[in-house]
Amino acid sequence: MARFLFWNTYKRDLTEQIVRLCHDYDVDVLILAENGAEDSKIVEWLNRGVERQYFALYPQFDRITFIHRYPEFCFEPLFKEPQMSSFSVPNILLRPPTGDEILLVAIHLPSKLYAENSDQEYYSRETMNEIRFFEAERGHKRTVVVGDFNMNPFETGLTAFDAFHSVMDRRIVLKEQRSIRNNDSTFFYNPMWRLMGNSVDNPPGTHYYNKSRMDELFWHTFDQVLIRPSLVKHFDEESLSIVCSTGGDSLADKNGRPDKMKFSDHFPLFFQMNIETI
Amino acid sequence: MSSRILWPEINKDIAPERTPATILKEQAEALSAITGSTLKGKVNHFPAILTRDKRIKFLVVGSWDTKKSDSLSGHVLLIIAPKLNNYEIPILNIAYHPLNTYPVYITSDMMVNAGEMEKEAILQSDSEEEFVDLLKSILSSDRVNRIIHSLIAQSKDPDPLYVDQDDPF
Repeated sequence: MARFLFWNTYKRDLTEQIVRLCHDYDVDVLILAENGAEDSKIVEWLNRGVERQYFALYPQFDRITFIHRYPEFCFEPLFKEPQMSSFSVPNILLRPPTGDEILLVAIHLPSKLYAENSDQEYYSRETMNEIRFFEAERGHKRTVVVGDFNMNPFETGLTAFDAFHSVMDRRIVLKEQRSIRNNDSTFFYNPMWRLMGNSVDNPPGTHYYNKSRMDELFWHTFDQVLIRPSLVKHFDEESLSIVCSTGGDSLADKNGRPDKMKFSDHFPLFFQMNIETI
Repeated sequence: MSSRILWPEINKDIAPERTPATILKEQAEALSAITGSTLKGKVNHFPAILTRDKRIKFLVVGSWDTKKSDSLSGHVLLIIAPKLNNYEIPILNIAYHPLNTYPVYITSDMMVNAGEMEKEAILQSDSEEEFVDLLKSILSSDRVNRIIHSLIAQSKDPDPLYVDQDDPF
């Protein structure tokens, strides 16, 4: 069972909290956006007193930090040659010692502070072009996309046929794809729909933002994981959680929102997948 | 009035019971012996609950779930490959009430096709004998056998993906 943790750390050095989360959740693959700490420092702290050593992926990508504890040869970054476009999304091959390889894609798409909806939809399509390129190159669609999309699960960039094409219902996803005017598009499953709004076990979203507009959502679920149909049966639904504490420390403020004064304006996202027996 | 003993009669000669966790630990140690220490077995302990969809869910320290009072004693049997950065693969999970050792609940991906999470069924053993039989069927399954042999092979050549087969030098 591979355990994944994603966190946008708000350009802060949250090494202490990251290490505690990784040890509490027994994390195998750590993915950070806006990481404000040195990779080497995080790895050094993670490896204190543990048998399974963590490694930072080298070379790292601009906006994303990858740290993992698989044998080093199991992780391979993929780059388009020679930098075919200025747009590049971190694509990683993960080949566990037991099981087939998966394509792991980490996302940190532009913020709504600096991009209009149309810009975000453009980036979604460009990202999907790149994912399709590497899926074709590898000859499979065992793909997981995780990260800070800066869009909610219901926005066009996430749902559109020619963008991520992600839906909330596993049964629809298991139909694999649909066609419109002789064009095919494979689905992604987006399990984050289930975690939106008030529930007993999770906060209403991963990010809180109040811009005092007429149409204000307050809570956003920007941090998401998307899963291709062939991996849906390996995804552990029960494990998916928005994390709001590390050990005894709350990552939330007194209102239950991400405590951006002390930590980050996003909560971490945790999930596990049974990739070892694919 | 003389004091009376209100406790029931106690049989002091009760044979010590081997808990399911003890049996797992024995098998963990046996793996190291039969593979010449190329692989190791390990048993991790976590509090656990049975979920509504009949699965064993292990609880993470500090998570919301640990506040639940009905937690069971949960254990995971793992195979570890020391030469592959101590790579771990879980073989089976068990959970039982700390005071009533049996029944013990068991889940294992090794018993379902292609690790399909949805089909992972929870199994139940009501006695040590039943548990040992079930454990044997899991540990001697084709999938566990394949995993063990694959990890042994990779442990002898721990960097197989870097071998350039077109390069004669």
